[in-house]
Amino acid sequence: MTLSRRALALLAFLLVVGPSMVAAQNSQFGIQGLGTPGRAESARARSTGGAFAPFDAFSPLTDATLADVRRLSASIALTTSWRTVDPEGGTQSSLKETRFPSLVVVGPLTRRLTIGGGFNTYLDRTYGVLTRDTIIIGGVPQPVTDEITSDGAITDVRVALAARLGRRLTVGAGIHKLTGSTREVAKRLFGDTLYRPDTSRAEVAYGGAGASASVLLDLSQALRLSGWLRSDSKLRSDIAGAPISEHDLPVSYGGGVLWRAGAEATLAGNVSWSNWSVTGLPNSHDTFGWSAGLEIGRFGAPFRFGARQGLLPFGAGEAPKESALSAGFARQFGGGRGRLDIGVERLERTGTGMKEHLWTMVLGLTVRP
Amino acid sequence: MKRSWIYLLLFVAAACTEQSTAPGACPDFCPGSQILSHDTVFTTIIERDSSFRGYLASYQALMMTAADSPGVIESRAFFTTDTVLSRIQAKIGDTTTVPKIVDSLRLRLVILQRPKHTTGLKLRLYRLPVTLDSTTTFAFLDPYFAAAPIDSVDISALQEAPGATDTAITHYWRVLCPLCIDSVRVDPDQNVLLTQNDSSLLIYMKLDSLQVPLSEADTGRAAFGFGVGSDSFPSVGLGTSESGVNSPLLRWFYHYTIPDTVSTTPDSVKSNDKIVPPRFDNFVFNPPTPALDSNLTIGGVPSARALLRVNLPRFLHDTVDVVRATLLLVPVNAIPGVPSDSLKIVAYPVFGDLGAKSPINTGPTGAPLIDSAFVHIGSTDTVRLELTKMVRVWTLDTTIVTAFVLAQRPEAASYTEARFYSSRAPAFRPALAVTYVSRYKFGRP
Repeated sequence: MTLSRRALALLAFLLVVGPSMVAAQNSQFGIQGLGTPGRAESARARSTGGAFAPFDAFSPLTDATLADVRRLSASIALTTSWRTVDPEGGTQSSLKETRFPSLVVVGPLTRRLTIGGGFNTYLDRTYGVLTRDTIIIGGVPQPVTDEITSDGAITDVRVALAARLGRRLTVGAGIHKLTGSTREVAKRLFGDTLYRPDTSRAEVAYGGAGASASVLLDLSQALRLSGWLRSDSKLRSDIAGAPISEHDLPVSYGGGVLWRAGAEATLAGNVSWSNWSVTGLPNSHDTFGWSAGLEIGRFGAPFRFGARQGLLPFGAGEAPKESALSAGFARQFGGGRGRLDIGVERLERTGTGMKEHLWTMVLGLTVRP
Repeated sequence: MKRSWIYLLLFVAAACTEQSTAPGACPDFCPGSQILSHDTVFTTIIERDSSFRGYLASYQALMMTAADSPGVIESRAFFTTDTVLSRIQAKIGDTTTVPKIVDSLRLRLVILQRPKHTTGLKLRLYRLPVTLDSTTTFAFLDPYFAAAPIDSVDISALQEAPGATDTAITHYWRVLCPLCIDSVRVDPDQNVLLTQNDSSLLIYMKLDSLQVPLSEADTGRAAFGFGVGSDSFPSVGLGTSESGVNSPLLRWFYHYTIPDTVSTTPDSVKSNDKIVPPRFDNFVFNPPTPALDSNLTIGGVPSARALLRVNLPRFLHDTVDVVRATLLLVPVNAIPGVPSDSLKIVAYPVFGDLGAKSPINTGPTGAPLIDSAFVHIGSTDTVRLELTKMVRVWTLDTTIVTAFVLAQRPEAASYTEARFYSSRAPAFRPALAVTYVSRYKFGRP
């Protein structure tokens, strides 16, 4: 079996198992909200703090960049996060999560038109909360332990088209279907074994739709601008077909710039906004974020660095802040038919009453059969 | 590149573990919905409750009780043995019979219940007429129990005696009871005590032919009565033939002479034994069981059961998870009986509500739902009987009959009976304390 065939086989495996595990790194800040927004970023973009996402065809952030792909290609990312949760006055705990945050498959339709699609995490809703309390039953204090877990995510499935309208201008548009489910379990254990444990289970299904548009403007061979806009409808959740809740979803927009500073150095940066406060949930906030990144070295084996800062959409009091530093590298193989991206990110989140620290390992695999 | 693949595989392998549960920092970082427990005493959902008597008679019980508590209860256990022929065919093919000469007897008894802390516990053996049957009354036995016992065994002394060290003795008894635990204990009268692994005691009383002659007039049948004595008021439960392996047994050891009619050689003597099972066993007591009244009566002889119907509120079916359900029964008076006794009350589910003839469900679907509680003699405390398993099944399957039967276990094996207030006594009627958890509101942030 050749190397590229092995890569294809691995990609096929990930395509099969990936959608069942789609999620991004989670956060305690998302428990009382709709979840933790996923990152529409490939492993390459993630290694640069997200700065390259508007210019990277394998990052599902923008549609216009699909036009850069001239052969059928596919890319998937795998992340493993080690998260330390540090509540104010509470017990620090360490968590670990593994996710397939994104998959993009893209290929040209015509010389000017490219089609692509895939999935990525829209909102991660995987968490588990363990609480201990004493309640009064029949006048007698009874110790109880509650465990509420949710496992799953809301996934953004995208189909997009990108077209080159000239030497400098590329546009793209996509439609999005929000889908997914969470398996939720609420369990109460009583200290007195005469009380039977109570366990409730439900599978909550989610649905919604959205549309996106983006534009790429090549001001010169070295300088490129990007702009994007995305609007999503309402997020509906139901259990066994019975509606449970409905929340408005935000409009997101942003812009970025990329500068090729030579044959072996590229810099990029972007800013983005989302009006998450339209969800109507208490403690929901509009968000803003920026990122900057650098890619240096040979095309086949670059090194990457990046930084980002932004706000989280859900959290008590003021919007929680997050900031991250990241780095990574890539290696091509199979005569350029495959590429392995490996990155690492250190992220910190700070909000009212809670701090989180994350180390995230990112692995990306791109194949061009 | 090979190394990259190794890294990839290591990464995937390392990634295949999850830990996403953390101690909650509530309320800001916990789900909006909470698990809520509720505790309610349903005072009126037990309705149309009644007691019925006559399910089992004392001679059908798994145990017979001997007790001696003057002024409170006196109970006499007795049994008759099956026929033993007094003559035996000495030679095959020769219809001539010779008499059996009884050497000794062993009477085996299984003591299933006994006061564990009493001292000087003695079991007395009385000889009774072999005509005893189910019509035998307590008064009828008075003269026989007033007479001197033919034998007695000091159980407390046997229990305190050192175990036998003679390997011939221990081997013999171990073969008879391979599952017995602890030492083989033998008293000077050659009575033997073995302890079974359920703590019941096996007593082998040694008797001789003077104490128990082989009566041709009675076709070799014998009848024995059992009385108990101790430093306090004793009560013991003896296994009956209905209990199978715990049945009393009488073993006759005898010999006979085979006459030599051919030569001048001396007649030969042959030894043999015969184990005879009980023909009938029973116990009688005084004072007799009082008649049923408007209260809920459980136990006694013939056995009484109570049928209780539960009008389960609809919301318990639909929206909650029952985590505990406890039946509360208020005794009418202190449970009468010997202080060392206790009464085990068992709640059985029923297949259908047919009043007194409601068949109790002890099959595969019913057995896991059975619950029980012990009631101590002399106690006036409210009796709490867990019905969690039964009520949970009722909440899940609305087609099941929401009724249950309360009975004593073992049934009809003791004079003890409990009386509880029924739904006809509004202030003390049976109640059901239910702890339930409301359905968790999933899908809401």
